[in-house]
Amino acid sequence: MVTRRNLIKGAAAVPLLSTLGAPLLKAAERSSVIVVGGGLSGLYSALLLADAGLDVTVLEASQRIGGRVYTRDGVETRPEFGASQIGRTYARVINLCSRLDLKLIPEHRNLMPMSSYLEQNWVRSDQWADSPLNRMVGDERKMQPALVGSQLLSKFNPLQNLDDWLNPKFADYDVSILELMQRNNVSPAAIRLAGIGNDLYGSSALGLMQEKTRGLFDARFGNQEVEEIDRPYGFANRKLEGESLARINNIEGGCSRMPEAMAAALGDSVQTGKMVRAIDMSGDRAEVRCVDGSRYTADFVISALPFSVLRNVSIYPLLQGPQADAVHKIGYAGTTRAFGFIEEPYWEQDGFEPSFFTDGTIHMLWALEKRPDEDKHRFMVVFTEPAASRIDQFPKDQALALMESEIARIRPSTKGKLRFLDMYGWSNNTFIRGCRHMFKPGQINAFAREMIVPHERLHFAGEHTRRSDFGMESALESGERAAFEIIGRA
Amino acid sequence: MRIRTMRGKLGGVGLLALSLAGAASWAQAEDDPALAAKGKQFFMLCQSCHAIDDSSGMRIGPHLKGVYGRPVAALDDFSYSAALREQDFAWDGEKLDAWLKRPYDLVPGSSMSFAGVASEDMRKALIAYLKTL
Ligand SMILES: Cc1cc2nc3c(=O)[nH]c(=O)nc-3n(C[C@H](O)[C@H](O)[C@H](O)COP(=O)(O)OP(=O)(O)OC[C@H]3O[C@@H](n4cnc5c(N)ncnc54)[C@H](O)[C@@H]3O)c2cc1C
Ligand code: HEC
Repeated sequence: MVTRRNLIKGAAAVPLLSTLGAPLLKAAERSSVIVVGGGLSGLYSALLLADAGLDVTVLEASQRIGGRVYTRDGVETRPEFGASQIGRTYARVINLCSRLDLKLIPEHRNLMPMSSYLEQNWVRSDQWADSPLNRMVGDERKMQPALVGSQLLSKFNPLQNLDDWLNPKFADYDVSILELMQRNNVSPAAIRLAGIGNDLYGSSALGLMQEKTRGLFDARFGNQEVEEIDRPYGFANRKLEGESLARINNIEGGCSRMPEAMAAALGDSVQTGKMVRAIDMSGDRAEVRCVDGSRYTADFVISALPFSVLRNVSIYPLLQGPQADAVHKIGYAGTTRAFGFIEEPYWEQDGFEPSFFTDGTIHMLWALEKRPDEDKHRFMVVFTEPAASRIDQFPKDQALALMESEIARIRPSTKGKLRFLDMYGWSNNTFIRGCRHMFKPGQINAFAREMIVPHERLHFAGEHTRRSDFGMESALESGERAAFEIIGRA
Repeated sequence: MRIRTMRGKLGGVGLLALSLAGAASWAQAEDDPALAAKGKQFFMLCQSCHAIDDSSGMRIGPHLKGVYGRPVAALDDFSYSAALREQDFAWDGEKLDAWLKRPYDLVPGSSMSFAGVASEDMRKALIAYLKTL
């Protein structure tokens, strides 16, 4: 076995993957660590541990590293199947990009205004407040249909500090979105709209509020006030004068360049095609076994796997109590997106806005402002739960055909004007099984505090083990924590 | 929250009392080079946000060169939160310890998004390292 260390330092170094019982030579006084999972969290923990002088091996099941960062390079627009947006307070991502010589550029993905198609009727965003289709009451009526869930969650969010969600003081918010809304006398019409893009029964309101709080932190950082939301879904991205970063940034050349550069920095210690099936800590070192029969030993192991798939790995001694519950019961939610070009501006024909939101099959079509370097608009069809799970039940070509015909049926002006390039549904990625963790009601109280406590020699990373961040930054936050825990023990 | 109530007009007296209370243990801990070396390793937790020389680069926090003894929120070219700018003290062992334990408790409303270091020994090591910067 060749490791990065003995490649660099020559034969004097001890092979990291010493077999069971092999005598520990000089360099083995240092701990060696196996990181299971080559997504951002795993790669980052490995990088930090290598910085600290430890031998690290990363085992990744798929042939592709990066996990939920996935730039689809072969397709014309190079769509981002997974993460791409980097907020200006993503301290670790930003610093890592600068370390890896990756350039951050302002994102060009501004959403064009959004009409709605509800109960088989079209309504423009500027006519929604007074539309007979709008059966919400009082102030609720001003909320755009696509934003009802999100804005109500913000309204009822009591959290201030980024880690308040873990404070038992707020335990009472660990209830379903439905319960939160009913408790606050939200009208049935508003709850119904909120349920189009949110799992009313299956998501903890407190878990979503954690993300709201983090979003607010980003918006306010550096003493800049939150901008007015001037269109459904999102802000107009902008870069302030004198600021080095925009509100939202991308990595030049695609987000996958980041995990690729991390893996390159780690060299041979990253191995793909290595699906771990067992982590056995009953002996005096940890042994990690892969489905192909290969075995690795180490002083410490980091699981950087989503719990949706860690539950398929046998862990000895067995996990117990809240931690076992977390691994085996925490919820996951899907996201599915299709990508393409708009050949002609169909909205000029029918008078509705370019983007739309619907309670039907499609969920959302985002028409994007033209990029300076392109002569056509791009679009994305975006499904969150429960629409994502529905569309994911079809094979890809059927799902694409269904989208195209359904969009043409409800909005005939689009016929022949949308050119689909590709799509991706994260629940169908069998190595990940979802877009993100999603605490079910009661699960934060049941195990969110305990789920990250190291188990024997096993430490836990991954976006689901965040304490105060979100998105890619939470993956790095967790990788940093796990690396730090091990350095504290080694 | 005794630190908060001592801020403001009472500041001078209160701070003196505070630093005397912790003086004995801090004086020993802070100048230990082995401890500082450990702290340098633990600085892994800070390096994404804080440079140790005076060029912050792409980092989102103020640089920490000479931070030990530096008045709070003192850098001209960093946009501190209003909450931190309102403070009136210099960073000593006691203050740093409280800050690193949980920044939100020392200065509610600060924009340092950092959960804190629970272990007192690790905080000691970190502070010993900060003192060398
Ligand atoms: C559609 C989508 C859009 C997103 N948009 C954004 C965004 O704009 N901005 C943002 O900040 N974040 C975004 N995110 C979130 C971000 O992508 C994730 O938080 C982050 O990438 C998660 O990293 P991770 O290391 O925790 O997990 P993952 O990336 O899922 O890594 C886990 C790895 O483990 C591997 N693995 C699984 N089982 C095994 C096994 N048995 N043995 C070995 N390896 C195994 C998997 O193949 C995978 O590579 C988005 C996510 C999705 C899905
Ligand atoms: C995620 C980013 C982040 C991390 C991680 C972080 N800090 Fe900070 N830190 C900040 C920011 C932002 C500020 C400014 C806070 C404000 O203005 O309220 C700050 C302020 C400080 C200050 C006050 C500086 C001054 O000029 O008054 C000190 C001291 C400090 N941090 C030390 C640390 C140490 C030590 C660590 C690691 C244990 C750490 N920080 C981790 C972002 C961070």
